[in-house]
Amino acid sequence: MRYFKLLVLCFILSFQAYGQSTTDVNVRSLKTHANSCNSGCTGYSGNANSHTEFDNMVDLNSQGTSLHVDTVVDILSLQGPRGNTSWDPPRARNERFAIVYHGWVKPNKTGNYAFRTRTDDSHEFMIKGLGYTDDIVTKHYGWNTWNTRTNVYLDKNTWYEFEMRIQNFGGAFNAQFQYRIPNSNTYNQLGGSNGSSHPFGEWSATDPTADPITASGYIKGAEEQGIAGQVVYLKTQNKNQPGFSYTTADTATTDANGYYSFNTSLNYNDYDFTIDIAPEPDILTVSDINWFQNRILTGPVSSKDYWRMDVNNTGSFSVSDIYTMHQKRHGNSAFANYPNSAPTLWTTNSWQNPTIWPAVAADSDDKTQFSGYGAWSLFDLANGNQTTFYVIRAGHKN
Amino acid sequence: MKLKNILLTLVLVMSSLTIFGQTTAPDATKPYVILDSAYALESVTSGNATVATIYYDNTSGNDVKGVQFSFNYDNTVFDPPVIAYGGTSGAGSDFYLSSSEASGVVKVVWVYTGSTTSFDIAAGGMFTVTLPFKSSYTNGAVADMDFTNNLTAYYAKADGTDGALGTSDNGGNFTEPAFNYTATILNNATNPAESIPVILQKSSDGSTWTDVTSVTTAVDGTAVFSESLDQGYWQIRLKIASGLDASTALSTADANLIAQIAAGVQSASGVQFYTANPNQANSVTASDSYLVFARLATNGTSYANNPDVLFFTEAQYNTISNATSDQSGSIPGLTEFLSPQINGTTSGNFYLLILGDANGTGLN
Repeated sequence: MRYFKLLVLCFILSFQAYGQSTTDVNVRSLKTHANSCNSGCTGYSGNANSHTEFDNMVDLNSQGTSLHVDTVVDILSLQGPRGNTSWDPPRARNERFAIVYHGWVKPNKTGNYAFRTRTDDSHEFMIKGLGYTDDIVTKHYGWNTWNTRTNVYLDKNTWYEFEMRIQNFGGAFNAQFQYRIPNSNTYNQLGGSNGSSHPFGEWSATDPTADPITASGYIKGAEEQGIAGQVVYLKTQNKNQPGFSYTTADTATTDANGYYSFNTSLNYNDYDFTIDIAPEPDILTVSDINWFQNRILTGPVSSKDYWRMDVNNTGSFSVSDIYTMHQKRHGNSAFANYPNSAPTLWTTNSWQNPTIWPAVAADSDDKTQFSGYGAWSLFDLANGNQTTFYVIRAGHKN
Repeated sequence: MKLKNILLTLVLVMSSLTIFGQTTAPDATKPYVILDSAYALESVTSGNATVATIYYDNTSGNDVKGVQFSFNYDNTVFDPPVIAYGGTSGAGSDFYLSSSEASGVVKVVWVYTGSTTSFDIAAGGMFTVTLPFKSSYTNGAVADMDFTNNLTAYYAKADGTDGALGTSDNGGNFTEPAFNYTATILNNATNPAESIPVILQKSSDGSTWTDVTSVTTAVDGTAVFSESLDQGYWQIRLKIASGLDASTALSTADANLIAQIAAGVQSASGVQFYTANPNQANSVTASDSYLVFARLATNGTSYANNPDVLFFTEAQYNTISNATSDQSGSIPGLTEFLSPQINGTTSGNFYLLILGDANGTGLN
């Protein structure tokens, strides 16, 4: 019986320990008001006197602002926005600093909340998606003045992205953050005794609903051997954005096996994405060219040959193709472009629908009427995130 | 007369060009690969492979950077050949040659791999085709080489596109290796026999002989043979048929001389034991003299029971010539001359003696 009680205690402690992790949020500590700079060059005054000034103050591109540290803190601890004069955020100094708390929170109850905040000096408390101007729930540009907003409706099943900015130009610094849960008349101090009695909800430094974009695959040549050193682009555009205006969000380079992978923090709920490649033909090699020459003796034996071997685009394989390859290899300027506008690259991938690579790889007829990759370039997590690109390069065996 | 000589000279020049013009382009419309009219086979017993050269020529004015073509060969005679670049294009090592063989068809691709943009293949022998005999082959007909369409004949232009490569087949025939021989037929060491028809014969087994050709001796007694004949395979000999009419060599002087020998007025020399004994019976007697007188008196063209001519090898003749007695018992001579095998030799002297020609006029 005694062991059973001990087991229950351990379970409770473990649960609590786990629960503590749900109060972590991100914090960015900044040094502000660089000595050699004034409001004319920083874009903000002693106190952040407007949302624009606050934006400038927490912007690392501002001339007077620099990063002290990016870290994670327990928002219910005194490192969080609480404790009044006991507030103890990570900071480089006691004056001319700014603290930005950022994370996600899911309230324990559904209903109308009230929030009030008071800091020294200015602050802004923001929750995204509620429709408030600049997402600001409470704010004060100055010091030691409570600002209150009531009837803030929150759903207990929703994770809300929040941000709270606090800055101190000079003198003392402090912070208080209080909330009133639905159907209650009293405010709870975040992390205080009341707050512990009526905890606000779960906190997170990362978006619990995020679906990070990942992708992987191979770039292989005509002989289905990986091509190393090829740059692969992960391109995104805003979710459900009409049209096709993807821009590069990340790049990777294939390894010796032609393998690439992306593990991003980009939220698939926010972005559509695609994988793009821009293979570059290497300098042709004598061994490859000799292989092609010997291949003339056996005749066209693969559909792939119509791209990689018919470099003068005559529809046949002959000694003139071989001569052209050698001149290309030598860098003869007359062969900067292959004769008859012969293509240098043809690509497809296992996503192409209908997939044509198996036929290209196995058959021996001319399939150059297939346009290859380009018409089917979209990938999405709904269909998977792995693919193999096949690249046929003129003058290259693989 | 001068004009006639000029025309004759032109005919000779044209004939020479016809003979030796088998390795040049037939026209200037395009570059050509060329098969010569004939290629000499190696002897089957030599252990060597036959080598045929494929030529290249181009008078079109277009630079040529590479060629491809195909040809066939007699794969019942030869094992698959080895193709090598034997050109003089100055390509050094800046070329790559590949070839393949299947069912008697050879495909060839040759390309310039260097960076000199002005490169152009030079005319001349470009490829050597080394053809080893099959182990089962001994002798027999060899089919000629021909260009085929198994690999379209192209040349690579300077702009990297195809051009039509001409194929000029002047025969591509294979002939047995040359056999050259000069037979000299003599009445004696200083008296050549003219207008003697000498036959060259060959035999694969030594029993059945076939005439190859016949040459009549010239004024110097020589019959010159130049034939395609593999003496490594064939047994070769000379033949002079019997029945020669040697009437022109006979005269009353011969009959008188025979009578003097028969009477013991003169002694017979070595050869006179044959020439003074036209009836080939006993020794030299009055009947021999009579036989000659009778033939002359009747304008006869032959003897009733004896040939006009007997043939001897040089060794036999020397023995007879140096003898002081009749050697006909051991060296009777041949009515129809069949020489020993002449394989491995290039010339030989053979002698004839005319029965009744005691004074050695001979056939001239």
